[in-house]
Amino acid sequence: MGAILALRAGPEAPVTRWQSATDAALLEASARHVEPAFVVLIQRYQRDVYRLVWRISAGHADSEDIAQETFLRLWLNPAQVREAKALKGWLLRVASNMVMDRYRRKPMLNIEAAEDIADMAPGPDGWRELSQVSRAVDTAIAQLPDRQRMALALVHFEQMSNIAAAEVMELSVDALESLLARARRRLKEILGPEGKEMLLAVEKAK
Amino acid sequence: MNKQQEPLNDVELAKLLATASSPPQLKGFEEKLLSRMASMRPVGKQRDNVVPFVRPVAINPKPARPVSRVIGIAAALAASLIIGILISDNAGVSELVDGVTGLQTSGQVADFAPAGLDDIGTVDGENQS
Repeated sequence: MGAILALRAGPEAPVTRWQSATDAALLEASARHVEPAFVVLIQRYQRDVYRLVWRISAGHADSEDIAQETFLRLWLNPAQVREAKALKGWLLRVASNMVMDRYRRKPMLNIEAAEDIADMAPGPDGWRELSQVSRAVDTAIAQLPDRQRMALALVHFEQMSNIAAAEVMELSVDALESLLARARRRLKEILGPEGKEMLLAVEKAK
Repeated sequence: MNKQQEPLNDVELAKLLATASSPPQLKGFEEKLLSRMASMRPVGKQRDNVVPFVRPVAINPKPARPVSRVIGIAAALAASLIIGILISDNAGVSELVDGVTGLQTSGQVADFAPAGLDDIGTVDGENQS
C-alpha cells in the first residue's frame, strides 16, 4: 500500500502532508486530481459510508462495492460537492441512493431477513447468548421498509441529528421523525413479547 | 398485565438496538479503490450537459447569382419599360390588340360612325313635313 501511495503521490505530495488538511482543501486538491488528497478523504469517510451501506443493505455482500462506487463518483467529479461542510452528507446520500437503486433492480437476497424472530428464539433457558439477541435485532431491522431502515441507520447508528439525517434523505424534519416513529413501532411489533426477554438477557450479560 | 408482556418502550428498544451487529472490518478498501481509480480518468470540472449547436450544412448550397443572370433581368426590365412607352400611343395599342386577337377590331371601331346625329336630323325633317 505504501508503495502504491508513494508512486501515486509523487515526491512532493505524500499522503501524510494532507492528513491535517480541511475537507475544503482536500476537495479542492481532488478537483485538481491530486490523488494523495483524495486518499485522505477516503480514509476519513470510508468507515461512515461503508457502515451506512452495510446497515441499509442489511449486510449485503455488495456493501463494499457500493461504498467504493460512492467514492469513485466523487473522484470523477468532485465539483458535485458545492460546500465542503456538506461532504459527509453528500457521500451518505449518494451511497444510500445507490443501495436503493441497486436493490430496486435486483431485490436483496438477504438470508437473515427471511428468518422469523419466533424461529430464532432459544429453548426453555431463554435468551442466554448475547449473540442470539444481536442476530434477532439484526433480523428485525432487516425487515423494516427501506426508508424506515435508512432513517433508523442515520439517526440511531450514525448518531446524526434529525436535521442532518433529514438533509441526507432530502426530507423535512417532520417527515424524518414520522419515518423514525414508524420504524420504532414496527420494530417493537416485530420483536414482540420476545423483546422483553431479550432485554433481560442483555442486562444480565452486562 | 405481566411486565414481560408489555411492549418495549423507546429506551428499552434503544438498548436492544445497541446490541445489533457491526459491519466487519474493511480490508484493502483503499487498494481496491485506487486500482479502480487508476482505470478511470477524472474530469476536471463539471461536465457541460449542453450539447453544442452545430450549424447545419446545406447538402446542395445554392450558388450565388451569376452576373449574366442579373444583366439579363435588368435588360428585360429595360425592354419592358421601352415597350410600355412605345405602346402608350393609341394607334400602337390598337394594332397591338389586333395582332393579339387576329381581328380588325381597331378598323371597325374607327369606321364606326356616330349615327345618332343623322337620326336626330331625320326625325326633325319628318316632323316639319
